[in-house]
Amino acid sequence: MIDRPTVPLSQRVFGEIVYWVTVACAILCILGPVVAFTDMDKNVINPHYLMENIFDGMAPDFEEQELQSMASAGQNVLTVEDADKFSDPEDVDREIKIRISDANSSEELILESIDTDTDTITLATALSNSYSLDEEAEVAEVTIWEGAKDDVKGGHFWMDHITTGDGLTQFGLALGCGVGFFAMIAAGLIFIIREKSFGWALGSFWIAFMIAVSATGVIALH
Amino acid sequence: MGKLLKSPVLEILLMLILIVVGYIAMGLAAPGIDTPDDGMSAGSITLILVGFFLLSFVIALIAVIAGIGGGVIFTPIMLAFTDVNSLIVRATGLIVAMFSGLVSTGPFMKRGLANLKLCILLATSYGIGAFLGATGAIMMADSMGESGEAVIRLALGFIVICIAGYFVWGGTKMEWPEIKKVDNFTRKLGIPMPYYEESMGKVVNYEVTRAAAGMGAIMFVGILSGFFGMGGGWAAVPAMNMVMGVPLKVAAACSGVLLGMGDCIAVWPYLLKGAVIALFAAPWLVGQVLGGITGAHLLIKIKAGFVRFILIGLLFFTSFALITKGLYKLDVIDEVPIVVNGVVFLAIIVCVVLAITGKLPNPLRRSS
Repeated sequence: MIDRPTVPLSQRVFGEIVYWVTVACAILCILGPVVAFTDMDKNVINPHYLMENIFDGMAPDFEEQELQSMASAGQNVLTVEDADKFSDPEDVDREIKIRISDANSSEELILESIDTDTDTITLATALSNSYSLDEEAEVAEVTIWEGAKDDVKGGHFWMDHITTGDGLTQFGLALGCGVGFFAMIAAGLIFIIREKSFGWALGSFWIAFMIAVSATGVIALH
Repeated sequence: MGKLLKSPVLEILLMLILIVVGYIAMGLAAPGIDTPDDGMSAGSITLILVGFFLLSFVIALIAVIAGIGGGVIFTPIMLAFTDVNSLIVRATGLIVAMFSGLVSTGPFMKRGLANLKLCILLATSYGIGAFLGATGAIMMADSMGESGEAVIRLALGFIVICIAGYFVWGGTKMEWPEIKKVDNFTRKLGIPMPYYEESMGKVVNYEVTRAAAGMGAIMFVGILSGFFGMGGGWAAVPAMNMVMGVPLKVAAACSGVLLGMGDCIAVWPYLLKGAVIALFAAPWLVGQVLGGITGAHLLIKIKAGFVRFILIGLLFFTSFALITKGLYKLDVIDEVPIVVNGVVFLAIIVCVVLAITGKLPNPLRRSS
C-alpha cells in the first residue's frame, strides 16, 4: 500500500471554497431568471427589450460625443467629435437610435447616415429642440442600458436591486467573479497560521488585492 | 441512497432539478405574458435561455474531453454567427472561461494534481496581463466603434486558425519533461509538490525551472485572454510544460485553476462597463458549472479522440466565418452567400470524417 502525499491544508481549503461558492453562484443564476419572469417590469431592465436589443447588436456602453457646433430646431445634420464612433446604419441591419441632450432638453432620434470625412451625422428626422454649446450639448448612441431603473448602467447594480430577477442573477455572477478573493484570503491566512509560509501568504494576499482593486474599479487605465 | 447524498451527485441532482423545474415554469408562464412593441416575446426569451444552457453544457463536456477551456469555443462561435456586440460576447466569454476553470479547481486541488503555489506565482503575472487585455479591449471599443467590431473579428479569426493548426500538429509537449538544472530563483520558491499518479499507481516527484520566464509567457497569455475574452488554457499548458518543465497533467490541472483565479481579475472591467448582462450570461455560467462537474466525474475516462477532430473542424469553420464577417464589416468584401458558407462547412465536415476514419494524410492523422 503506497502512502499518498498529504495535500497541504491551504490548498484543500482554497479548492473547497472555490468549488462550493461556484455551485452556489450557479444556483443563484438558475433562480434569478425564473424570478425575472414572475414580473418582467420589476427587473432593472425589462427582459423583453433587453434581449431584443442584445440580438440587434446594441452596445452596452457609448462614450458621449460633444456637439461641435450649435444645433437648431429643424436641423438634421450634427457635427460631432468623431463620427466613426457611431454605428453606420448602412453597415448594420438595424435601426440606430441616438440621444442628444444638454442642460435644458433631450430627445431620441434615428440615425440615417454618418460622414467620417466631415465628422457629421445625419438624422432621419429634424431636431425638435435647439442645443447650444454653452449648455454642453452631447450626442450618444442609445445603449442596451437605456431605460434601466435608476439610470443604472451595469456594474454593481445588484446591491440596490437584490430582490429583482436580474439583480439576483447579477449578484450570483458578481459572487463568482469575486470567489478568488475570499479563497485567496483564506489560503493566505492558513499559509501564515498553520504552514508558516509567509512568502506564499503575501502572494495570496497580493492576488486578493488585485481582485479587490479590479472589482472596485479604483484602477482604470482609460 | 447514500450515494445520492454525497458530493458531487448531490449538487448535480439539485442543480438539475432546479433547472428542469425553473425552465418548465418559465415555458408555462410565457404564453400568458404580453409582449410589448419592439420587444422580444417571453416564449422566445425562454427558448434562448434554454438553448444557451444546453449549448454551454455541451461546450463544457467537449472542453473537458478535449482538455481545453470553454471560452475558446464560445467566443469565436458567438462573434462569427451572431450580431451580438463584441464587448458583450467577450465579457460572457470570460465568464465561460472563468467558470470552466473554477469548477475544476476543487477536485484538482483536493487530489493534489494542481499545485497552489505554482498557481499563485503564475496568477500574479496572468492577472496583470488579463487586466491589461480587458482594459485594452474596452478602450478599443470606446475609440474604434463599428470598425473596432470588424478588427476584433478579423484578429480573432487569425488567432483561431493558429489554435486549430496547433491542435492539428500538436506542438512538442512532453508528458514528463526532463529538467537538467533548476535556477536559483525557482529553487528558492520551493514550488514542487509530490502527488499520487493514479495511472502509474505511484507517487510522482517533479521539478520546476525557469519560473521568471514562465511568468513572462503567462502574462502574454493573460493579455490575449483578457482582450479576446476566451480563456487561455490552450496557451497556458504549453507555456508551463515547455518553458517551466511542469509535467503535462499537472500543467493542465494548474491551467484550469489559473484561468479561474486570473479571470477573476480580468472580468471586472467588463462587468463595471455594463458588458456582463445578467440574464444573457447566467445560462452560460450554469451550463459550464453543471457540464464541468458532470464531465469531470463521468466522462473523464472516455478516450474520445474523435472529439479532437470535431473541435479542429469547428475551429476552422469558425475562423472562416470570423474572417469573412470582419472583412464584410470593413467593406472589403460583400456578405458571403449562405451557399458558400454551406460548401465550406461541408468540405470541413468531409475532412473531419476522413480524419476520424483514418483516411487523411499523415500530418493530420499523427495528432490522433
